Amino acid sequence: MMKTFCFANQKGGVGKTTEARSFVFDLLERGARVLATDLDPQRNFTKTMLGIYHQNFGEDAEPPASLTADKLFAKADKKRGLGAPLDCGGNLGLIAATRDLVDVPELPLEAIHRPRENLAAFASQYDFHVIDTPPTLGKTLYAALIASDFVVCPCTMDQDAIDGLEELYGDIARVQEAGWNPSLRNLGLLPNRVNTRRAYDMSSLNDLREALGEGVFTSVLYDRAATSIAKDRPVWRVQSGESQILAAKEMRASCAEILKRAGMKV
Amino acid sequence: MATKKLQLGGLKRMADVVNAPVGQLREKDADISLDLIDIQRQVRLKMKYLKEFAEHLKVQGVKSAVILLALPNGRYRLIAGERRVRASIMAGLTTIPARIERDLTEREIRAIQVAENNQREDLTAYEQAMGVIEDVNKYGVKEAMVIWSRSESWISKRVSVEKYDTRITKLMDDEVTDDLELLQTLNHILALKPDDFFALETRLRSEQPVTRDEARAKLAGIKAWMQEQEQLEHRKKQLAAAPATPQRQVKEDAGRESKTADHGAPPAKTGESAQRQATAVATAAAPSAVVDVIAQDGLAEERTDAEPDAEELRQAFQQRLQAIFRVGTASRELFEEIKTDLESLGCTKDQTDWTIWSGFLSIALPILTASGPARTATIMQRLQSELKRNSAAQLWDNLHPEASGTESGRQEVAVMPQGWRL
Repeated sequence: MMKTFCFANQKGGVGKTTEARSFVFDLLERGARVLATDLDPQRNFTKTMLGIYHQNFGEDAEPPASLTADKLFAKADKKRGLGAPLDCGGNLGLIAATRDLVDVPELPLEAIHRPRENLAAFASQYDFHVIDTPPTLGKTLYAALIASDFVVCPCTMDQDAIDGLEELYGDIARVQEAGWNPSLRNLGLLPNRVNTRRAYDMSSLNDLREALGEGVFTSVLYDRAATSIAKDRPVWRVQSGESQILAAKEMRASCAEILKRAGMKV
Repeated sequence: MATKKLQLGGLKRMADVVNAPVGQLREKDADISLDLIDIQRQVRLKMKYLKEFAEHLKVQGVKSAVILLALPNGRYRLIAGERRVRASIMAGLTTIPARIERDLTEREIRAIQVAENNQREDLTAYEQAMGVIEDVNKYGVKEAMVIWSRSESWISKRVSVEKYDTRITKLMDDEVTDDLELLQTLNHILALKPDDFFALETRLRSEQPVTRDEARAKLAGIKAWMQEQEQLEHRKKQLAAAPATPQRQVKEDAGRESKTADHGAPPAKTGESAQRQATAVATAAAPSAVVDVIAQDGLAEERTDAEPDAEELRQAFQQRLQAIFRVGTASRELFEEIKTDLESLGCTKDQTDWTIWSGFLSIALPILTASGPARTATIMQRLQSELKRNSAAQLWDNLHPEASGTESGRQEVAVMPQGWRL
């Protein structure tokens, strides 16, 4: 049965998409079948996954028409059906983001339950489902939380990111208590872009561990140049250099911890 | 300077809520006789379609347990499920499935009510806001945050609903929209310019979308317009206060008299107005040009003594904008000719570059000086980014597209796109 993970934080730029990418690559390398869904109209996650498509089918290949993320919010049309995710080759399927996602807030409230319903159709075709979310409040985020089994919260060491996370936790609580998705589990805060040379970052990380305890991942992603360069392939496949090697180790470790926290064998 | 330590209190509180083991939805504890249940007033202000629900219950019965608090006298206080209880009574049923709680504080009761209401998605945005307001008034903001499992900003947004005009809360109550950001903007618009609000309200009620951006742009426009009006008033006052010569004083009085006599009549006063327009064209006047000395048989004097006509100003403004367009077109022609000159004279690359650079500065610098340093920076950045995507010629075409009915064959006064900002 497909297990769904989403990456969320209501502040942008904290590393959601980077983590989501790495997680997808990690799972693929473990031989799993992975479905990637991008709910962010910025489409960064989509572009990386399309990179895989082009690696497998050629630079000039035109992806055929396929199920896109905005269609997940449509009422299930039993006659027509939704279509299928884009097959990117190598066990990866993609439900790509489109600009139409910006219209989701205009939909009625009950639309937030539709993606979960619509995604059930693919549950037997994939082992894992990874959702990247936009850095905003509202219906898209709720839909992602309702459709997910687990949520991972990347967070940087600054007040804005912490405040964004507080808002997000409120939304997670709402989704659980309102009975929309009572079994949604928050795997915790994943510290990202921590600068070891800044005393502030290190003491903030400490404060976070004191305040949240187990609610903070043991794995920490430190601020490394390698991470920001490696957008179209796993960070551990970037050419070697000390920064890259360390970044790679950290990313792998964080992916393993995600799976462990979700109660899966690693 | 030391950065402030991270404030984690709010996050910790939320984390405790989120990571708490998710309670199993309990099945019923028992079927309780309806006449043992005391119903207190709940937040729920409307009971829509109660009769239909009662009919449904006659056939199906109540599926999900209501929540009761056991009282010492053997009776029960209803905590959540008023609709089901009322409909059951209406349907003539005798018992109802219930979950029974004991020893709860008021706050815990409230938290259960909130959770139950949320679960049923029954609350309209308006009812929700009213509920939050009541909880804040009773228990304070911090407690309300716990009851609703929400952040402070979420709570305060709903609290501010209390100050909204009734026309706005009616939009919420009628479930036309539940977007609080939008409603807040509409509230402002209603306060400043009711007609604009009514137009938007009509659209919303006929199920046409009004986006937040649109409403914000409208509000910004209204505020800008109000500022403009203020400045106009200010200038009019300055004019009135300007020292007048005895001769002008007489004319001023005469002007004022006729003005009051004509109050309410359209500004066009036939011959006089036409001549005013003529003067306007000739002088491209502004109120500050009070001491324009154009010897035109005292007509100019009369005009400058009277209040500056808003219509005049607008026309003068348009004409100046058209002049800018002509200056722009003329500049390009000039520069083309200069380029030919440079070639014919056999100038070097550096000489050519210098001529064009200094020429550009001669035209652009006066504008930038007038626009002020902050705006200058933004203008230059924006120009650079626009030129990355379009050529200068394309940008010009977009600004002054071809149009019929003008001398130049182009739209001479550039039209501001909807919602544009620098």
